[in-house]
Amino acid sequence: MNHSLPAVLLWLVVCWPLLLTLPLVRRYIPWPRLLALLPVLLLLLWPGDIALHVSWLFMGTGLAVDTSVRWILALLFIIWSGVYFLDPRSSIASKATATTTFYLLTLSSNLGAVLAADLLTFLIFSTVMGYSFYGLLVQSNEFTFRPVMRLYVLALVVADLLLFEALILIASTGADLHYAAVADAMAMNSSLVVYVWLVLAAFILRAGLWPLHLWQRQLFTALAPSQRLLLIAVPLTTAWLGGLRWLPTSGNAQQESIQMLELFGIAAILYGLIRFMLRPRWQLFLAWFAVVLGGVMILLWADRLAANWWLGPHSRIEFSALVILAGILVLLSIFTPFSKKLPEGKKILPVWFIRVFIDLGGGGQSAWLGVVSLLQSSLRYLEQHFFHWLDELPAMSWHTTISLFVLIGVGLAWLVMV
Amino acid sequence: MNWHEWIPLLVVVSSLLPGLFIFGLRENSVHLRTVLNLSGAVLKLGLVAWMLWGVYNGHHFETRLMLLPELELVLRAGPMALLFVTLSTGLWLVTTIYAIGYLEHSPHRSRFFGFFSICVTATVGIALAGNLITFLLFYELLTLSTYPLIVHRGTEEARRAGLSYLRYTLFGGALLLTGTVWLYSLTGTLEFTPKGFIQNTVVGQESTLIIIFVLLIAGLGVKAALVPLHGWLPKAMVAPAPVSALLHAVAVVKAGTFGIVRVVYEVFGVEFAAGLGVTKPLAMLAAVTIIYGSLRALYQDDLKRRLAFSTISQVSYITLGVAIAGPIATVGGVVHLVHQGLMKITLFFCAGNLAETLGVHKISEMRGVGRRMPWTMAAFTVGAFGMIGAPPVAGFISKWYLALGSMNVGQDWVILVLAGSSLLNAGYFLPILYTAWFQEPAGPWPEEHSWSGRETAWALLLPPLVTAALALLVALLATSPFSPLEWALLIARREFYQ
Repeated sequence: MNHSLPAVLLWLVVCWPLLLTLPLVRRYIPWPRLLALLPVLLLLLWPGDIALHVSWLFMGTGLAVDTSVRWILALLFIIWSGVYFLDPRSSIASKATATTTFYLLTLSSNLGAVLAADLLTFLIFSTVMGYSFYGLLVQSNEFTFRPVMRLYVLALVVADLLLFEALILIASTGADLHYAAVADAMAMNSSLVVYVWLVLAAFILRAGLWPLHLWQRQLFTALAPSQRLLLIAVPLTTAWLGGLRWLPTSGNAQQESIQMLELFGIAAILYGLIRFMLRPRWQLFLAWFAVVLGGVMILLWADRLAANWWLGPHSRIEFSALVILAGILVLLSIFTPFSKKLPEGKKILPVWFIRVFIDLGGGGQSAWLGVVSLLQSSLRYLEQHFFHWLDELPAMSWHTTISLFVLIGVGLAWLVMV
Repeated sequence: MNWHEWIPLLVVVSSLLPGLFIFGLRENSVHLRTVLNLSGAVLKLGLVAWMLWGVYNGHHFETRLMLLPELELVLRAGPMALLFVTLSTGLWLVTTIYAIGYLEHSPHRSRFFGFFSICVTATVGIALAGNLITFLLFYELLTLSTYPLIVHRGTEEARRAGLSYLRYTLFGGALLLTGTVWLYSLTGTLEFTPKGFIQNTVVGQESTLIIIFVLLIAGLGVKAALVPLHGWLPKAMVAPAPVSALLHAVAVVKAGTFGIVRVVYEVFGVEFAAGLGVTKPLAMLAAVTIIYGSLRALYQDDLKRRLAFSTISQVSYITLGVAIAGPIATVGGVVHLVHQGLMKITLFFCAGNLAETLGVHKISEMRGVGRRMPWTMAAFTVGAFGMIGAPPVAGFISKWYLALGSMNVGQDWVILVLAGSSLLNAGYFLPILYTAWFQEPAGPWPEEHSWSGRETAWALLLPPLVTAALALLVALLATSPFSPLEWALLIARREFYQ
């Protein structure tokens, strides 16, 4: 481990807010939410690249900061500072509350994910970040937000599984888990095309990009500005960055994969634009604009996969673009109105499919149907405790239908191109 | 006998003697009973630490006592034995502290702690067993010593659960005895040997060996809760929480699984067993158990029953790792022996805290309990995330090695099983956390006792915090020397490369 001062500073960025999550510690610290950002400011002012790797910590943990990460860190510093000053609760003596604990844990893990120097470290921090973000939003919002947040946590669980599988694929080639190793692993092993799609699916889920944008759209519509900023900093920026980090840049990805991804990006942009123009309300502008920017991000991912070096192979233009996109969202978040509650809606289409599946399961007294009964019981439980609240979601089935049709269109277009 | 020969025997009897003495104590001899319990646990831990230090410095610890002509009771401190005995001994100390607090005002404590001590004696004997006959003796002693713990409350439900437990485990014991005797008649030896002893002593007779393997695995599979031999486990949840914790994390279930590990590696040898074609069906059975246990856990409202079915699922990860028959998967299976123990005992301690402090037994009754008992639920949260396999808790490391190991030997289907299981684990643990942390209580909690501002008695609060912290530490320090992972790597190297 590098014991020099910059390395210590790097650790402090993550560990200081983590320490402040303990109520016993922050009892003695004034303005803990603000002071938690102090190491970030110091790191931004410190010149030069810094990297450290601790081989004995959780199968090897690495943190690093370079020029592109510094820009993203600066963005996060601005966002989290903005959250502090925009959130009226920060002015109240709330040191001992669970909200503050979740807040600081989310901050710590958010910073850790951005500073992560390898795939495993990113996964660790982003997993903790995802769950603590869930806790933060649920703790600090009304009960009506909870169904949407459950959709978010479902997306998180599935995304984490997909990333785990992707990580296993890379590790099974014998490569180490640094970002650069992914490209080398793919160059040597053509079967790793699955890796690309696992990663894409995971980060589309995590960022709430089209066509899995439901939870993100609802939250952008209804959350207050300070929490919209959190939405940008935590799931969006981290997932956008994750896509850039995890996708290989050797140009070895299959052309079909890149084309499919580009189609997805264009479809997302068009979808967002069309949906807003169908019902142009200022309150919905941010939500649909976020969908459009998500499509732009997908195009950037496709570019990175194709190793299209706009300004030469060492340019990090995608990272700069990420900062700009997130910055635009930040500004819009502050100045666009919000509805404070989620709109009413009908049942969601997928639930009907599940109900049909349960009804077709039937019943029976035979011993072998005991297996079917077990599955039925499990599915009924899922329906009762999971899909039931999906019904509560303020989404209309025709929204989902439009997305499905656009997806089919994307698939057909890809087939034609291939 | 020199001191190297005495130590393993002392490790075993260090809990037996206090246990026998405790039987004779009066119910109101609280302090003496506590001293005997704790001193036995501390002495055992000290002896195990001495043994660990000795083995690290190249000493060999083995006790041999004549049972019958040509049959010896053998206690040996090998790497696998030391892993299990350290886990058992460490968790026994923690469980003893917990049980002292949990049963503070309960009747028949002398009886309880007497059998508790014999139970741990049997578990340590299983861990240190150097041959199959020693293993079998302590295995049956475990059955007999845990029965009184299950029926401790004396209710009708407890008696029925105890009867079910006896039926299953004695049947399993009979299968194990049959397999052991048959094996001895073929091989003339029962000594656990790295890479197995059968291939060096038996030529041909594959069909017979397969039947013997089935008998042994079925006998062990009862305690290991392999489907369909798992039926006793959910019923046994009627026992007090310290017993549930011991059963699920340390003693009974682990003993069965540990036996399966021993049989595959040190009786048959993993390569020989794979050659016989028995490892793949074992892997399939483990996979079915994993998914079945998780599915059943999904719709249990009783907290301990949900944890019981979770145990059925999680413990089979160890069997799966062993049956995949590859070095990396072996690491995953063996290290999960420790990781699952730490995480599951944490969960059962927390369940016991909720029951004892607030009278909460069902998940639907846990609304808002996180605000009333934050430290207990914090420990539960760590254990739950570990079970799901989320980093940075220990469960992630086990799943990592299992998944990597399965790809390493071309058994990619295992990854689907692990993924499905993780999804189901999230499905039945996350709702508990949500209910506890984010829902409003249905009504006021029972009046608080005087616990000096704590949420519950310190003897109930400290153990789950310690085991939750350990579940985090063994993951965070996974690649440091003496971690369970490094130990598992040593065992795998010994099994496959030496």
